[in-house]
Amino acid sequence: MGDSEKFEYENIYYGLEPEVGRLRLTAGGIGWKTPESARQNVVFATEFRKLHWLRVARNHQLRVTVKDGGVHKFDGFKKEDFEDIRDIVKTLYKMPLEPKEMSVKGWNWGKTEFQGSHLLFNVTNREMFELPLTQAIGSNKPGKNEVTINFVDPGQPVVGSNKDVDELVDITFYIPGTVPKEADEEEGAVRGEG
Amino acid sequence: KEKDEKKAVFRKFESYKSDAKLPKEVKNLRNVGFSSRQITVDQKAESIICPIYGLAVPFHISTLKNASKSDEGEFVILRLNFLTPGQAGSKKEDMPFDDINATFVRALTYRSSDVSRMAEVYKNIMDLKKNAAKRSTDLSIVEAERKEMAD
Repeated sequence: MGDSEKFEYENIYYGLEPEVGRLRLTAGGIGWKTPESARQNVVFATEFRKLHWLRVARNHQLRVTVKDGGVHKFDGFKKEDFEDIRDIVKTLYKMPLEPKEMSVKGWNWGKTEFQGSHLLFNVTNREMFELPLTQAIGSNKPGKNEVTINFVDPGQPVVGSNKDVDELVDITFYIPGTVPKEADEEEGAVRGEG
Repeated sequence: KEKDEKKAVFRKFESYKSDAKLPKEVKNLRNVGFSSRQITVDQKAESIICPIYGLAVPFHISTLKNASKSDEGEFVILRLNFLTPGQAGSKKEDMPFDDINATFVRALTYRSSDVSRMAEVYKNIMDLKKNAAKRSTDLSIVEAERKEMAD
């Protein structure tokens, strides 16, 4: 097999970047570059730990987990790209492309888990969403058993104001368990608010 | 036991059977589907699809306690409050979950500068909630009637 083999995909997003670029898979790794602003990112094959395929908001994602725990996400693939990419990564990297099912049950209860700098929210052992804690600007405890993580200061203007974007300002979790169980069962509802 | 019978029954619900069933991404809210960066209401799946860091995350209307909308300068703030244990004033039958010891998403706050679109999103959420509440009442009546007949 030639080391010069390369496979390219157009209109691929990297992470949460707003611009699309071209994704290139070679034996050396995965590269991504925008045509005009020349934003780019390279992940070396020697750093790969796991490769996943999952449904995201911007179509499908090739997710690369690297050895230091970091995660690189490439969005915008079509559903039908799966088999091609699975074969490509098998040829180039001798690694499987593992499909990852996300939770779309619509439930608001589950388990949280820290993974690197991300907080994952899992529902029946499937990921529902994840929060990049590096983006958080603060956190507080608005009530008993409650934790709020702030991502946007509502007083601040939007960076590059965009009407098409609904920004997540904060998220509040309710975490039972610090209240004695008997009290919970006796009273039915514990007054967590007020 | 009598006491146990009064406990809320978890009526199972599901936004989508699998992630392949999520609506397709579209550029604009008015088309069928969702935008990757906007809150979208899927009437058919009775769900609010929330953009959370690159993922389209559905929340079934049964999990929603209430929603509020407020104007703050040039922004609209939309707050979604979800049902969790430990909420004052919530009725027992308002507890649609099967694990009270889980971690719950209790609230999400979004802001947008698109006032008219957010007004529409808010209205759609309230309509969905109203319809779901009505259906649940109808169901309770049917169940009560059935029980009466059985007795």
